[in-house]
Amino acid sequence: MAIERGRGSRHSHQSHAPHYHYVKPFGEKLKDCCRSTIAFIFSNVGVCGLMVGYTIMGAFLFSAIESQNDVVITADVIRNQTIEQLWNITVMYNVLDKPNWRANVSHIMLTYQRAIIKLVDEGWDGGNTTLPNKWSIEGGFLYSLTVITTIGYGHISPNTDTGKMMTILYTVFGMPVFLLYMANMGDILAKSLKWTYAKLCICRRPEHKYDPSVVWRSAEATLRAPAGPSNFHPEYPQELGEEISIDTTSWSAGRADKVDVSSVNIPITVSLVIMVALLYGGTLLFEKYEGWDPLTSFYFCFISLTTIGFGDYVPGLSVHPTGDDEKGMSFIYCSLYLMFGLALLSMCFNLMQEEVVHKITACLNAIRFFKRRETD
Amino acid sequence: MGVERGRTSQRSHGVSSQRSYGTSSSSSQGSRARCKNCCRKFVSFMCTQVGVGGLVVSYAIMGAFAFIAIEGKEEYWMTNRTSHIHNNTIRTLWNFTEHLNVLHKDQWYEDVNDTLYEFQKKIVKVVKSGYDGRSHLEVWNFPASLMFCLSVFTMIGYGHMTPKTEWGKIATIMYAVLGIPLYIVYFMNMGRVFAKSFKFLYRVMYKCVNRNKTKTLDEGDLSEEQGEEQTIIVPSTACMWVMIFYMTTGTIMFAEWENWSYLNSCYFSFTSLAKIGIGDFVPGFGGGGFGEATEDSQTKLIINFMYLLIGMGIIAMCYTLMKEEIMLKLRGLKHDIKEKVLVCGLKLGLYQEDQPYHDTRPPIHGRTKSVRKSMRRR
Repeated sequence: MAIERGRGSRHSHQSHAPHYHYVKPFGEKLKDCCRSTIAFIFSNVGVCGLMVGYTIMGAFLFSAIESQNDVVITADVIRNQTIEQLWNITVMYNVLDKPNWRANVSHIMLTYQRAIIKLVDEGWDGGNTTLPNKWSIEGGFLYSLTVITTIGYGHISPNTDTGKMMTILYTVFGMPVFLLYMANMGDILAKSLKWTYAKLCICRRPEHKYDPSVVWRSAEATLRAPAGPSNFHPEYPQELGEEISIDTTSWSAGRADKVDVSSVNIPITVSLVIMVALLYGGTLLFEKYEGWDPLTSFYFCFISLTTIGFGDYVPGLSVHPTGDDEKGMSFIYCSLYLMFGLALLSMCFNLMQEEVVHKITACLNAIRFFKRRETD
Repeated sequence: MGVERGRTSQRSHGVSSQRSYGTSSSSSQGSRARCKNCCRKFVSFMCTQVGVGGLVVSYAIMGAFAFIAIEGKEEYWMTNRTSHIHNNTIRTLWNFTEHLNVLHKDQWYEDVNDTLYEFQKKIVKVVKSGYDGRSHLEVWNFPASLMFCLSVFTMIGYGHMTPKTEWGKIATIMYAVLGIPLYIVYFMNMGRVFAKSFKFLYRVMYKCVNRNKTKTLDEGDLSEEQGEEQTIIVPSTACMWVMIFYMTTGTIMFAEWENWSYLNSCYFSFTSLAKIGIGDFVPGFGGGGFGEATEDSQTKLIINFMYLLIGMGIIAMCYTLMKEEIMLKLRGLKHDIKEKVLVCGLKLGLYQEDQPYHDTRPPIHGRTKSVRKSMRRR
């Protein structure tokens, strides 16, 4: 938060600040408004644009580097080679000697089998079609996205030396961009969620008069009751936390009429519900567009969002027979889901951490209070 | 902040502080206190670096056995099925080779082509249902399973071996849910420990170098420098060097063992340590992921396991140190900009000239504000 503020103020000071305080108040306000909008675009939309632009650049880069020497070997070619080898063996043994022949043929068949398995792994669907171009623009886009988000499906990997070197370089510059994007998006999402939550839940509550003795009595009651962390009354922990922290820090904040958005604490349950909803939404999405069964779809979402990224299931490479249009769409869905989902997930974790820290602080304050009272 | 401080002190002092508690309480109460003391010691030990490290390793080992138990059977079944298809095809081939007494090349070609086409179809079907061309002994042996567990909870995810059964998938999800927080605790812990020790090392080296330099200087200068040394911040270049050194070690090690080229080896260690884990190169599995597992590869996998765990700790260290430095620099930058704004204001004649603001460097952020407020009042 402090850094954010610092950055914003830095931008503003660099551009306008010398005149800022000493012109007439109305112009000042106008300028302030302008500046804040510029700062908003620069910080949030700009960062998102940077992220998307960087990924698209990566897509073109990798597809240019890698698609040059993409040798297309179809299954037919391999099969013909195998038949040739088999014929050679059969002809070589003039008198057919069963054990020898079998051993040789078995070896050749194993090689053939491996070749087919590799082809299927790379996206061949068993028909008479040629192997799809792995390094199309969509493929490159998904590759660069999975590299900078450190998911790394590995369903396609660079074969050339230049591609490998570019991957390293691309990651070195891309990971900071991605982290910046995560921080920014997380911040926006957290703010909007807090605002929504404040509007929905907090304003409905009657105003409290902050009398310290009342506060302490309620705190005492709460602590005496066998209330574990599982006791999630929508307002209860909130109240306790807020009111106890008033004693140390935010006396004045409590008295303000408006609810300060940044001081709102989202309960852990809400964060958990959002996370589950995110996973479930992804499950439904991929179930529909990829034709996976629910467990596989959920497994894919989970593995992707935790940035493990095995790459045994990748959208757009499925065996599900789809047209080219739909394939492109599923790439887009996947990219959007990953970009948005990762930011949302990081937001949830930040909120949960905040909440836990807040609660622990509240507990410590309460304990300190009781100790103080005992000594008195 | 207070919580954080409390936890670290408990961790760093660890056993010694607990012992002092124990002596005071054991005099008043008997076995109960001793039991409590034991418990407390155990908890505090689990919070130390050794405890967390041990927990991570044992979690990985436990996961390895669990996944062998879950996944091993299914793979075996798959292998049986493919070998069945394989044998059937060969028998068919033999039959019509024998059947055609005189070998007609064209006729033979046609027949073989049909048989192989059938074979291909069947194999594709099996692969689609989850077979990936390796027998279960190759895939789910203990070190490989250990690597799998590591790649799950460190979020690397090589994907060179993946769960095929439904229960395997569910187990992977559960394993990740529990393992990732554990790993993050390990990551933070190792980061702190490594950062502390690296700072200490850096300070000692710094002292050594400076002593050589300042032998000729006065004693007053020396004492001043000692005061400065308390606030030495390790520069991020040093962290970069450590990281580059560690990666180079890994590069050479893997290149020697796996007969990879240096570029491939560097690519592997980079993508692993950055947690990308593309998985086209995995130690012990050869280049393409289809190599044959030998006994030698098992030790390699275990050493790889250690390399990655320690590497993650070093990355955490660099992260901690760099964050510290960047925070400090940002704070400095803020001061500078505030100062420059003030100077600009002076130059533009917005403030009165007689204020000597440009030569006093405001040490605290709050003071700058107050200074500006006082100016505004004028």
